[in-house]
Amino acid sequence: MVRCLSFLLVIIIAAVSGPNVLSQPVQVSVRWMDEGPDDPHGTISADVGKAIRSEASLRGLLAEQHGLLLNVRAETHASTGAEFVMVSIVETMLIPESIIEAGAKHEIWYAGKPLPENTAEGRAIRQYVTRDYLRSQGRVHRVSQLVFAPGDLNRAVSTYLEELVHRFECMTPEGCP
Amino acid sequence: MVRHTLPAILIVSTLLCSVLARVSAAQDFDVSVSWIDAGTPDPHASLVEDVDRAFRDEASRRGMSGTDADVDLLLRAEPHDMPHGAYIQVSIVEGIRIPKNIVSSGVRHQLNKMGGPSAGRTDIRNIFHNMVSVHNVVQLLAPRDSLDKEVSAYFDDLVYRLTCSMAEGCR
Repeated sequence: MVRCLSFLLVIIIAAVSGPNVLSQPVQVSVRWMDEGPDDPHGTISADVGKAIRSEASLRGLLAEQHGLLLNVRAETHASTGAEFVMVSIVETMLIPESIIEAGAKHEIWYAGKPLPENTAEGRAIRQYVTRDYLRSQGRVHRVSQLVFAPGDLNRAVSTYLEELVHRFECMTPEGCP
Repeated sequence: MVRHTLPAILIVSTLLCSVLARVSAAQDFDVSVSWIDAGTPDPHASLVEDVDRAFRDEASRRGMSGTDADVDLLLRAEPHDMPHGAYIQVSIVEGIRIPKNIVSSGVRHQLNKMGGPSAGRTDIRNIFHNMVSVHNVVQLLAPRDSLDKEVSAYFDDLVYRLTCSMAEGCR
């Protein structure tokens, strides 16, 4: 009995102590773009992408492969001796998982093309190809631009995510809080 | 791991091959240009329209405008006050659109009815319309009066990158 109550207490504390992904107006996943090992801006793109992912996780917004994909590209430049970071965040609405599943079931990737062998392995590859392909697709919803000094990375990311959440709250039938 | 990696390799290879087949056949390719607004009202709408026009003009000048484009260029531009003056930041999203045969197959299998009770009312063509795979994001930073030069340099780079993807590589 005591064990059962303790277990329930732990679950209740876990539920109320952290931000709940499902209660947020938007769920995001984050990907940063670099052009390979010789990309001079690869490191800063990764740093900004990781900062956004970390802040999104703290706010309970992070949900891999669902909702809104943030494609991040960042570059460092210098102006009159001072460095600044220039960022583009491409907000992409992903295809709902239910449609991806249906597309995989019907193997739509091979539509109009000769089908590979009709074996269990062939079917698995055809379905996985469809799933992975459709998961890479999305509608570009908005591109946000940020410019800030390198030391202001966390503040810039925090302000951006606040603005993002506010925008999505305003898109609900209840409107802006 | 292999189950996930193999399909990913197949997808990338197929997309690349479909672009390269056209590049190698005609030594040119088409782009479509459109711009992304930031809601209503968009404070930078006139600037984005100007940038959009500069990209369209450059694509036309090079004979790269086409309705059945290989690459979609989605643009966003905003002004920034930098220590060395007023500059425009242009974000260029390079996307590859879903092939028509896949959209047609989605229509045939009524995928729109799989998205829940209300999704059935939406035509699958509307769901897939303007959907792209974001392939690359490029940023330009330029004063407004040197925008045309920057756009031209960007197109040089885009052509170079696509040409370098060919089997022979770059020289």
